[in-house]
Amino acid sequence: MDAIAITSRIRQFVTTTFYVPDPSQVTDEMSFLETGIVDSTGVLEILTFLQNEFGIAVQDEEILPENLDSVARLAAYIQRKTPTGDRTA
Amino acid sequence: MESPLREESTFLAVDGSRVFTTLCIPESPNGRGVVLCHPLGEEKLWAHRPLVMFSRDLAARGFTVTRFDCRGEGDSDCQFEEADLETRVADVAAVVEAAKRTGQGISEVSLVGLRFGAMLAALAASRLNDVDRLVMWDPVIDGEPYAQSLLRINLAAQLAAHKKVVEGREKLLERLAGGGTVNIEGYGLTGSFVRQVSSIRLADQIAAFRGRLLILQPGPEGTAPRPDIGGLQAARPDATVRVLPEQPFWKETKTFFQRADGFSSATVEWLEAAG
Repeated sequence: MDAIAITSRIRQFVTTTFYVPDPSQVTDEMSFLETGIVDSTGVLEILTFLQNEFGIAVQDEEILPENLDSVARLAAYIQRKTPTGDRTA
Repeated sequence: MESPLREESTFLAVDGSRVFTTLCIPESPNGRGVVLCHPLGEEKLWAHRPLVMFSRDLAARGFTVTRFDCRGEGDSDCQFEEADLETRVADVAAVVEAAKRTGQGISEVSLVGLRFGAMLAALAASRLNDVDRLVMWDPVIDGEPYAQSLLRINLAAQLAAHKKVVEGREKLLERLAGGGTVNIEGYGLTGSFVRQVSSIRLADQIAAFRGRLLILQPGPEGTAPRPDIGGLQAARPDATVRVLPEQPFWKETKTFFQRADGFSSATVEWLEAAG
C-alpha cells in the first residue's frame, strides 16, 4: 500500500468512524484531539484500527500525539512501522 | 410461535447486598431459564438495549429470562470499586439459583454472556453443577491481556485529556499495588480486580463445565476463530464455534445498535435445537 492509499484509508476510517460535521474539511494536518473529532474512546478506536488494518501493535510509549493525532501523522507512523504499507502480521 | 410476556424487577439478596434483577416471563413457559451476563463498565451501557431486546426475543419463544446487574454496576448495590471478579461470579451463581425458583417450572438454566460477562458465565458454569448450556458472545478468554487492555483505556484517556501520557502503565500498576484505583472511563479499577482477572485462563477451567457450549465470534463467515477461542475449543472439542457478522453493539460507535441480530438469532436457534 503506497502513501496515497494509506492516507486515503486513514481518511475513510476517520470520517466513517467518528462524527465529522464536514468530511471535506478534514485536512491532513488537522489535530483530531484539538478539534474534538477524537476523544479517549476514539484513541482506542485508532489503536484498534492500526492493529486490525495494518497489524501494528502500538506500544505504550508510542501512544503520542506525534504518532496518532492527524491524518498525516498517522500515515507517517504507519509507514515507519510498515515500510511496505502492508500488514506486519 | 411468539407469545406475550411480562417483566418483573426485584432485588435479590447476595452476601448482604442487593442485586437488581429483571425477569422476563413468557405467557407459555417452556420450562427453560436463561440468565444473561453483561459486559464490564461502558460496554454494559452500550450493550444494554440489545440485551434487553434479546431477552424479549427469547421470552417470546417461551424461555424465562433473567437480566441482572452485577454488584458495583447498574442498579445493584455497592460501588464499582467494592466489587471484583469473585463478587461478580457469586452474583451469577446466585441469579442462576434464583432462576430455578421463579415458579415458572424451570427445569434447566442456561447462561449467555457477552465479552467479560462471558468469562463470568463460564466461571460460574464451571463451578456450578447444573448449568445446562453456556453461550459466549465475543468472549474474554484470557484475563491478563484483557486486564492490560483496561489499563490502556486509561492511557488513551490521558492522551485525549493532556495530549500526553502523564502516568505510564508502570505507575498505574504501582498505584493499584498500593491500594489505589485507576480510572477506566469513570470506573475505578482496583488492584484486586486486576489481579483476579489476570489470573484467569478459561481454557484451563472450561473442562469443569459439562454442559453444551456455544461460542460466537464477530467476523465474516468462513473466518478462522481467534487463537484464544481456538484454545478454548481445544479444551472443549465438543463446543460449537461460529464466526458470523455482528455489529460491535457493545462499543461507543457512530451508529447506535438497538439489536444484536446475528448473535441473537444464532443463539436462539442453538438453544431451541433438540439434543
